[in-house]
Amino acid sequence: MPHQGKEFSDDKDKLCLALREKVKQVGGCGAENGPREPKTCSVVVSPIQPQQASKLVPVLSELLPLNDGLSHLKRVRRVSFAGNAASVELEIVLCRDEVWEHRKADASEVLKSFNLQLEKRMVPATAPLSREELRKWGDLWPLIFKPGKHLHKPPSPVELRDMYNHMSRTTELAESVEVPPNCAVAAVLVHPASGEVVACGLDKSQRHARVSDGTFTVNTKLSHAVMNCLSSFASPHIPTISNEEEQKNTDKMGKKQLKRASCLPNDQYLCTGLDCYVSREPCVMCSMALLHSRIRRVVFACFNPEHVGGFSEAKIHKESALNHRFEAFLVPVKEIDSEMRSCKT
Amino acid sequence: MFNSRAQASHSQIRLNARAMEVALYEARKALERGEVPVGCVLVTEDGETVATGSNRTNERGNATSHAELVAFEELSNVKKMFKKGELTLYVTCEPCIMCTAAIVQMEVVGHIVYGCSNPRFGGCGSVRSLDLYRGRPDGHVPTIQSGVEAATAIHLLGEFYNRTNPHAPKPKKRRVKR
Ligand SMILES: [Zn+2]
Ligand SMILES: [Zn+2]
Repeated sequence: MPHQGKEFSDDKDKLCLALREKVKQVGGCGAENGPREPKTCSVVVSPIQPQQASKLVPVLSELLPLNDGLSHLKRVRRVSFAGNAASVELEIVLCRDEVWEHRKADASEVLKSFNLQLEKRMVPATAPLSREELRKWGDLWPLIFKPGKHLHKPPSPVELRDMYNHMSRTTELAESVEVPPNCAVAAVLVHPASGEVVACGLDKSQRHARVSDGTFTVNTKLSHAVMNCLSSFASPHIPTISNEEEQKNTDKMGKKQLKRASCLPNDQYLCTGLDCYVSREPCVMCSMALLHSRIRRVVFACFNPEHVGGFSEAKIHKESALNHRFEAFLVPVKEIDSEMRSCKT
Repeated sequence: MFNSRAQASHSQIRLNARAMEVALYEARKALERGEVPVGCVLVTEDGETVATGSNRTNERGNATSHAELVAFEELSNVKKMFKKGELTLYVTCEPCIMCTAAIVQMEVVGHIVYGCSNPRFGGCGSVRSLDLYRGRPDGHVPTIQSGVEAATAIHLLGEFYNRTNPHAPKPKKRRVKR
């Protein structure tokens, strides 16, 4: 049936589109989910003759340096007039509006010989954090872009598809062990290059009894899926899931949890280079546990109404004071699947 | 009345010193095993020890085996029911963000007493604070007392870093790197 192949590739395209639309980075600088609208501020500019630029730029960088949070602005921009493409004029930025109010007495004296005609312009007030923002905001004023630690490289289509597949399987694992009224949570550690699942863990914290006199047992309170997954990875010979039925469920995905996976180097240090998939956003304890374990990336399928979100609220993974930083993604598999279904009908 | 309050605080100070001595003993045991020396103890209102813990991250190859979580593991084997905020946690160093979140979720700890602060990972004011958990339905936010036997805790940590780093006599250089 030749048209089946076509349909299949259509499905692939639809999934690709749905993933690009629905997958979001969580708790980042703000630019990772598409360019933001620029915040603007008012600066003083003047048109100049092209031959003036080489003399004026050094004078201004001495007199009015743009080191007050405007170092992302290029000093000079080209202004070409629509009517006459050959006549190119330059415009030079002096400083912020309010700085000029303070400095105009002494600065005008130094700049007198340049015959400047001052005007006001609105320019981006902050540095762009992505190439898209550089392009979009550059219409206001040409900008300097330093692709530093903030630069976000969006996941490739192949990466997105891998993330979706691992997230789907993790969600299925969670649902397969759901024991109402406990909402089940599952976490798995994946070696991204080989796609191998190297450990998994289930949430057992919901099963503590609260008695009417206000006392409670404490024995499983911290038994969250991520914590169990991390200890299962640390001691691969001791399965953390003792219940036989759960063990069976686990084996669907994680047979290798009993033996350290072959894809890992001998000198594997904690969880370096590994990705954690968890069916809902980890709490602060679990997020920090993943940070302590030097995880490469965390992916989850929904937010967590019960706990303070370790990434969306506490932003543990982007804290510059901590010794390790990583990316966290929301891959809402349920939403993506229903979008795929609605596309078909 | 004043007298009895003064007495209570005196006995409190004595209890603090005694409990912190147990936590420091746990920290020293961790140091002997080649771990970052942090130790802790969970104590009831009457001063009875219900669980102790010391750092076991290297031993277990698990970065989450901090002293506090090790103590909670021990506590979970205690066949007893607890009330909210019933216990005091004495720990030689400010709990990290992970352990602070664990303490809040456990609900049994009403009061944290710690020695030195933890500027790199601290969850009780250094990198994050307990404000993160206030006004939430779940968990119990404890009160904090800091600086109890801080000098001894810092001295122990210093001993660890001197021991493991053969180039330690140049502390200035290391600080610049970080
Ligand atoms: Zn958790
Ligand atoms: Zn800790």
